[in-house]
Amino acid sequence: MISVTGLTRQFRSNGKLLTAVSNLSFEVKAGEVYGLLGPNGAGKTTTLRMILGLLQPTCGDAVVDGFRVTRDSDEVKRRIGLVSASAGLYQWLTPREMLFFFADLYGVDPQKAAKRLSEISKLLDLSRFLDQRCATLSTGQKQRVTLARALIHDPPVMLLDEPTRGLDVVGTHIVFQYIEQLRSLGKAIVISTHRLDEASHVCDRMGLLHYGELRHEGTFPSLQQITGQTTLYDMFLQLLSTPPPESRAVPEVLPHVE
Amino acid sequence: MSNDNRGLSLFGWRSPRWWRMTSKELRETLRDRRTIITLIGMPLLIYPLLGVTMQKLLVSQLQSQSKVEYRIALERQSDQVDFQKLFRIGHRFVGIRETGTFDPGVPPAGTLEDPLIQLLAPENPDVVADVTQLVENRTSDVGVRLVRQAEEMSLTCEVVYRPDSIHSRSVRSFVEERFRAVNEAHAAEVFSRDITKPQSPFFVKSIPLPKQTGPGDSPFSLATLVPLILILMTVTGAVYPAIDLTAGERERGTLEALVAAPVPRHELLFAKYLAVLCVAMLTALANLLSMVVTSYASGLEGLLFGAGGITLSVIVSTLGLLCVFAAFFSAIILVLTSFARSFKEAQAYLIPVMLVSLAPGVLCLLPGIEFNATYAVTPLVNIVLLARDVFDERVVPIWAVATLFSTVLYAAVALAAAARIFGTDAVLYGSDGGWADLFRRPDQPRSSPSLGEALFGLAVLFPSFLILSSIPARWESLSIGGRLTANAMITVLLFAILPLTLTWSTGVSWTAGLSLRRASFRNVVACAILGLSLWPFAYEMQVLMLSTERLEMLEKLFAPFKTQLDSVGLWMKLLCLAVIPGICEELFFRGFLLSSCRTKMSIPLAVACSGGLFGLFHVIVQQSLFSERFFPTCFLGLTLAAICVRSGSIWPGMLLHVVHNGFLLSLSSFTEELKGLGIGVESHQHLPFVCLAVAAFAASLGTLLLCIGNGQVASDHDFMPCEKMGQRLPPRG
Repeated sequence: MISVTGLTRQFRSNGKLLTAVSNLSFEVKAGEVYGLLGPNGAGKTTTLRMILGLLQPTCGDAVVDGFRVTRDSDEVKRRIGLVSASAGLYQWLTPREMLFFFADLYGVDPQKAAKRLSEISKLLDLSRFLDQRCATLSTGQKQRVTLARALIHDPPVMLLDEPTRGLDVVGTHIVFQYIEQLRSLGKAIVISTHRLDEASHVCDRMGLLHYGELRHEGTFPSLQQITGQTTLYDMFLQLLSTPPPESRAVPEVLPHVE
Repeated sequence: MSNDNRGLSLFGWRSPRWWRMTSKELRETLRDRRTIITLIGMPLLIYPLLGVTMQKLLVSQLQSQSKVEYRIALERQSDQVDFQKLFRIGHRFVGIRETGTFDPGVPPAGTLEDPLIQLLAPENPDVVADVTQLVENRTSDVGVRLVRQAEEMSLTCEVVYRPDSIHSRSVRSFVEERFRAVNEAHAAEVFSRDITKPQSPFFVKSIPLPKQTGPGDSPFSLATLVPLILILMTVTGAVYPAIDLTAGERERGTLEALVAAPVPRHELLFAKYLAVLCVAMLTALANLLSMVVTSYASGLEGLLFGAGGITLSVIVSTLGLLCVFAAFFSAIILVLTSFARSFKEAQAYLIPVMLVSLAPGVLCLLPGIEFNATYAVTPLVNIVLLARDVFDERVVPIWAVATLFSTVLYAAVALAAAARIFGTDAVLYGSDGGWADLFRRPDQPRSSPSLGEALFGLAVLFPSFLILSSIPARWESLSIGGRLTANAMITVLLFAILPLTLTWSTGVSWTAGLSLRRASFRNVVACAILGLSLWPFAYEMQVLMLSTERLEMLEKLFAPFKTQLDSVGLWMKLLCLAVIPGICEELFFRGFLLSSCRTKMSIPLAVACSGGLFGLFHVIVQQSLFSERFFPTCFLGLTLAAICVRSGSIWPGMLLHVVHNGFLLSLSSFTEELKGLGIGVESHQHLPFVCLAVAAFAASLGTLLLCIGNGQVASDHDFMPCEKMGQRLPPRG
């Protein structure tokens, strides 16, 4: 469902070329939850933004449900639901108005959108505050609306960028339930997090990112075998102790990989 | 109706998507109390306060004078007796009515309620004074004419006054009130005594003078202040929604979700633009209504809205101008706020712009500022001056058109720039982008300039053309040859160097972007034939469109220029008026403009746009509008654009243009001979049938030559969007 090949992103800052993500490749199948793990600044969010087409890769490409992000950006966007911890809501609209608005943006038929809203409303228990102004909702309720927004167009792929950041135990539990439901619906899910407990709890496979590079990838048992560490925490500590790469084999301007 | 269906109707699913997005933006904005305060609260509060302040100011100005004096001019010396008699009776009645008592022995106090009266009448009993002139030149505050009809035994008292002067209006009211009091008293006496044949009362008639212009005018026109206030208030209304819908969204974290949707960024921005424009217009409407009501209630309408006071046409014209201005300023604000990553940053960008925009507005308040080419294309100044002229009912068409066209053009350019930066990763995530991105030369070569770049080119070209083309005519010491040379240099600068520079700076290939491809010999021959055969059709259009009166007027207007032009050698005329314009205009209109139009438009629409703009540019001649030039030049522009599309090159069209202009110029050297043959627009005669038939045959032959074979129709990939083309063309070495 998702195939990432040689994805690289460089930024120019104060005249220097910085590589945020370097030559990243991985695949995610339908019904699979893939965890992108790494410390802050490892390149997790940049990777998700490139997959979604919000950031142009310096080189490399991502294919989502058969569409290349560097060529068919809109088709890729149509197939992805994004849940971001930094995402906000329209304060003066109600969740119902906002969800219908996003359904419209994604080209969902009005009748289908109404049906879909009713399903999601049951799934995430939104009905109590569906006609309340978003500004008046609690943090947990806002998070549920954000999750609903990502699902309103029923995408086959979900990208979750630190979905539990700032949430309490109840809120986190709702997100876990949500991921489980998405998995059962056969969606391909990529979740970026530095919360190791939640990663080990929900992810089928994990990729450990550090300084923009994918250092290790696999299921939890295979990672244990590769790293020689028993817990994700220890794997992380080991990862953090490795120095940044001295030089990267990435030229300043690279054409997109064909 | 279920809740879900309510949701459906909320966003009007059947309307186009851009409108659904706009209505969402409007819904969000108008629910915000801060918008409502700016929209309704401010106008309701500000204008009554301003009205009261202005009245107080005027009253205090009058009171600050040592004594309030009313100067009343009379036509004849003999009128003094009748006037004083009537005035004293009326004054007594008014005094009794107001105070209950009246003592004629008390001298006037020289206050507003009891002013000093000074009568101005000719000393010579045979002289009849022109009271209108006395009022106009401010020698008196009002003029009174006592018109007697001997047969009817009636008297009419005409009071001439200046409606734009609050003092003159006060004197008029003062005089009329006293005259009416005489009539009322007379009527009361008639009814009380039951007189069967009463004496006729006299009539009172007010005669307002038209608003003065020129040296006699007051140094400061309040009519200029009105549009400036309205414009500033309109800006105030647009600022908050513009920030909120761009930088505000970025700050709240909703922008990422929005650009993650499969909707083009320019469409998202356009919806936001329409929402900002709607709020700006609502603010303008609220302000205008509040101002109208306040000025009417406080009696300041003559001062604020010109001689005619408040009329529906003034309100509609003002609202129209505010709409154009709001369209422009909303786009400017959106460019700035699209760059901002937070509310605070957006405010930091906007405050200097708003302060800077005050300067040209205040400039318009200075006395003696009249419209010219520079003001007509200067943003804000042009709208304020045009609004002032609308109030004064002295709009000059050329400046009105230039103002509207340039403002709309600037708005389109600003919007194109905003679309380029809105929602980019530089704004979304604060990466390495910035203002320089707008001007950075792309790394990959492209095949055609974008529509936004073409709009930018037009926005530079139009004001420069209007200003520069008027300069040689003002150098009176310059010979006609010098003027022609200067005009030719301006043409080269604007129509050749400008598109070449823009094409280079935007990384567009000159060959593809300006259609400088090699043309086939057949197309060249075809265009040479067309160049020689199209003029009769342009001639016939002129003859059909021009009235005899217009022709006479044009002949008078251009007679001195024609005489001067006759002294110039033909080669010079051909070079400056045929070859250089032909080459340069083709580079801009068919090369740069048509190529960019084709990136976003169908071929017929692109041809129509290019031809239409070509026609519009030729309507402006030496700071005047000659609408009759539009259709012939538009026809030529459409033909040249179609040829460029067909041949894939501007060279054949260039040849046609040069030959066409050159042939017409050569013919103008034989005006007298042609007149003998009945040819000449001035004689308002149609061309002989044989001439038209030959021209039609030649034009058909030329068209046939162009149409046969494959031509060199530019392939689709020549007009592919730049991103795709970037992959096709080799990188710049």
